[in-house]
Amino acid sequence: MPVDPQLSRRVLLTAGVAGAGLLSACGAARSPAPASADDPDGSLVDEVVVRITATAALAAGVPDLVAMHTAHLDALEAAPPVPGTAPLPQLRRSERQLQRFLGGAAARAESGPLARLLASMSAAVSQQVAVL
Amino acid sequence: MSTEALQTTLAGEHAALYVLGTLGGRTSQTTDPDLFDAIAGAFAEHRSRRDELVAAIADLGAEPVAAEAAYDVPARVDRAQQIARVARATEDACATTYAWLVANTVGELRRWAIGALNETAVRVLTLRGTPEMFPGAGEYADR
Repeated sequence: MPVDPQLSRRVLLTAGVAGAGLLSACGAARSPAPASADDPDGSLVDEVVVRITATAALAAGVPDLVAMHTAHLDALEAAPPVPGTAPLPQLRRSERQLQRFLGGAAARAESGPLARLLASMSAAVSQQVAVL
Repeated sequence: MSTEALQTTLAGEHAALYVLGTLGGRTSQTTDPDLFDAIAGAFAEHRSRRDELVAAIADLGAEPVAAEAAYDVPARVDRAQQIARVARATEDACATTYAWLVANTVGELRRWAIGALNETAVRVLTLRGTPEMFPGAGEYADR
């Protein structure tokens, strides 16, 4: 089964246009920046980073959740979250909302590799919600 | 690309059904009811996925790929722990396939693949699995 190799955020953002998604992850981290015409998924990725960071800010009481969100942000070459705490029902609700958002973001992505990554993140959140 | 990607996924579903059916036949509903239910549930879900893929491929005007006569199933897998491990490996392979399908489809077909990936990821937890960082895209966890 074909499996996409690791992709840097820069590559993820340009793969949809350039059709070149087969590069290894070696790009330097970058700060979120306004999407350009050459970056059709740029604003989507920025939106995803904001949503994950906001959700992680409620998850300090569940280390596995923090680890997952940190890994997801790292895959997008974004800064790690600053976890805070929230009551479990609020946390569970927030994670469910994030799961749906990530699934929707995967559907919207122009880049196939980015869609795959976002769908995988959505599935990871689904798993965490199932055991929360 | 969508038709080819769907055919690849359908071929995976044929294999998964064969393996899960074989494992179900080796699982005791009396002594291992949880495992039996997990495998039976997975089998039913994959059968539905197979039927949906067959319909989707036919709708695209192609002939759905047929199942092979048989698939390799590890020999001497008859203890509950071994059966669960093989069943989980099968589900993991399906998750990888669904994630690949996400990358190779758009629109409604991609949404179908996203849903299948999410459901498979949750179902694998019933096979004594633990949550992963990147279901279906494990290479990101190795960065």
